Amino acid sequence: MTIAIQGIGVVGGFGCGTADLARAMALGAAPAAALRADPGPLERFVPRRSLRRLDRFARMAALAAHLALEDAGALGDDHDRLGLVVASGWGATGTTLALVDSIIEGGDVCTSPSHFAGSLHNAPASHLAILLGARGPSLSISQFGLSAPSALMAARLWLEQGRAQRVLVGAVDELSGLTGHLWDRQGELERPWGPGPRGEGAAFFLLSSRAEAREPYCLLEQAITGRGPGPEGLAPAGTSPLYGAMPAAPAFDLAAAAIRLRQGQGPERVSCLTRDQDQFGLVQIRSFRR
Amino acid sequence: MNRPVPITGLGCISAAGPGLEAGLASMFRGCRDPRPPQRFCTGHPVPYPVFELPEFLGPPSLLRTGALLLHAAREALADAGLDRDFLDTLRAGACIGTTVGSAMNDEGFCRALRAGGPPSLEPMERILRSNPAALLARQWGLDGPCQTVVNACSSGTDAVGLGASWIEAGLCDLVLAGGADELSRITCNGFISMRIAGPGPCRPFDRERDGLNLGEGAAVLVLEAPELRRRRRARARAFVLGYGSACDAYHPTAPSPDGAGLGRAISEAMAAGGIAPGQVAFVNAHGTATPDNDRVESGVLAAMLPGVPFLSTKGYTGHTLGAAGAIEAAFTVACLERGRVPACAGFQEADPGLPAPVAENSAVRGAVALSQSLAFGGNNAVLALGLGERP
Amino acid sequence: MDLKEKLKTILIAELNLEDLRPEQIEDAAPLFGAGLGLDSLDAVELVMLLQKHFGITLKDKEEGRPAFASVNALAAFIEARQQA
Repeated sequence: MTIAIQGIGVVGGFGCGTADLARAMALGAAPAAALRADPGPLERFVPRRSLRRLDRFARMAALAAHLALEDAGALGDDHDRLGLVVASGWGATGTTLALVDSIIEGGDVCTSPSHFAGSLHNAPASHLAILLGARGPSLSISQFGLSAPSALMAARLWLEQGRAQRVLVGAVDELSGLTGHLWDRQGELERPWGPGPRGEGAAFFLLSSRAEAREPYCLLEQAITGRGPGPEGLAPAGTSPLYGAMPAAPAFDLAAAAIRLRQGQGPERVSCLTRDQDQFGLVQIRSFRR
Repeated sequence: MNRPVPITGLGCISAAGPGLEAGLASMFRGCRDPRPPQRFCTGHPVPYPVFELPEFLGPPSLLRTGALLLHAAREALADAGLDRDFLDTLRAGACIGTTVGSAMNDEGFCRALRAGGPPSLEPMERILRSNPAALLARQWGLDGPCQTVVNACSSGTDAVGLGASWIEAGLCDLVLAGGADELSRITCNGFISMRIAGPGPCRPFDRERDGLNLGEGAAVLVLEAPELRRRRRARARAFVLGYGSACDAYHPTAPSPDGAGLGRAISEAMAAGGIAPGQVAFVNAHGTATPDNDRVESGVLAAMLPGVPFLSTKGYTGHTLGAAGAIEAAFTVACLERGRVPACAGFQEADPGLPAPVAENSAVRGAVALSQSLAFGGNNAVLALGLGERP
Repeated sequence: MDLKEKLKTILIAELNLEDLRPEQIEDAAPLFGAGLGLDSLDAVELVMLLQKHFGITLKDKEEGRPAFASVNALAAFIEARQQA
């Protein structure tokens, strides 16, 4: 089965939506120390009251997911059989700190159940499923820099094996007091994270079979993870000054590559390679115009 | 219908036992001993019991979750007759479920950070070194696909189902699929704060049930491509016949009262395996002993699989979160092999209007069983497992 | 600030009811289901908040049930406990 990327939604230091990303790509961007994302525009899609349980981390994911659906013209569709895959390298560290704060301030008996529920890795996927009424398979993934390729691998398989007809798949990472602190001391880490600028945000994709897609960005030929440096002749993308460094960055690399393909720029087939410790992730896309 | 995926090796560590056979033997003897945690204290007026492994010690360089996983993987690979040299000749993958094992969460580190720091980075380094699927891949030189599933309480079931789908898709020849989770002070406090931890030993499906006990452990299943298994002349202890997965989309922590997501997942797993209700020998239920879960889950079982024996093994192991689905899949295979299931430990009296689980060690008939999990966040995951070849 | 006013402020801040002001919460309106529309996760958060802000320990959710009917009920419950 040929799989297509129908819609893309992104929020990050460059702004919100593929138009902002494309503009930033055209202009280049002055490096900043930290590229922060603003999940405020989520209220365009969901009333504020319905968002009260979503922390900043979950809001970034939800915003990018809604943007991807809007981009594909699929916002108003019935999402009952939609599959969801949400990946994150760091997880909800902002809420994790808030959870520990609640214990420090009041003792164990003042552990906040809401913060605990929000600190779980699958909280964003859970909120998204409720907001969209998505009752298909739902998967959350966490494996640092390989989170995005791994998520795309899962999404492709679901489509190929008929577990879902469409899959909303994406990655999200948040700059928090905890990750910020680790960034500040990354020279002391066994495996430094940089180079910077440090970034945060979410990038989501609506995938479907080629047959079902209307005007796809491109075809998603492959998404795989493995051991070693990856295929010969490929180099991993460096840190982008547009969205910064974070475990979820490969999802943004894919978004930028797909935008370029749709604009007819560059070669017809693009490989996005990620390396993390002794493993690699590979995502390959190809123009759908022959 | 899917092609059955052979399971050629099993490894399992839980409070029931340090290996799969030891765990089964202990369950059939009715042993269970939940106690207040020893490795840490929580400041609650009531000591909430847990199923801890006080004698298990992992290396300080790894998260305890990672050490538990490696222990189970060693048993599984030995059971399958596989060593590192042979694995090097294969495309082998790792698909592992967890919650604690992939969380950037260390209480000591966070406290030190809040106190002004700078805290030692070692707790974070330990986490960065211990991502479960990556750790397995590194330890055993696995160069196929690698995935760490963080679907809360259904992670282990999902990991086995997803690993089986990799075999079906031809992504690799072999998958180490399973789950692992350690007991953690923050997680204990979290469940207690949600008022779903029970103050005494848990009582799955009992009319007086009042909450879960947490536990820790790990399990790994070796899934193999049929062609590889034939080439190796390896024995299939069981087969993954089907996997179903659906989301309630109802509430962040409570299950949907109508159990619709679970129903969908059961239907999907059974359809994938071409299984009729009459063929199901038993169901290893999620059965956490919370009022909500057990009510919803037994209601769905009554509607879809009336009369099929079901039990929860969490009365022997506690709720091991990301490991639960994998531990329970391993138990399910072992019970299929024996044609027997242990009593649903902790159950004494049925909840009126709901079906009762197996109250005593019992014989079961049939070559197929289901193992299912219902997670925070509304994920429902079901595996249909089929009996393999006699030795 | 009187107790009911304080409770409304706590509810808004801690349950993240950002779109509400204290004067929009009626003293007698139901907190759960209809009215404010709180749910089971809010209930356990409220149990914790009673501990955190008023030092009150609830044995279980059931003990809190009558107290959670409305702001009036919550205030009466707290006052009774603090006098005991």
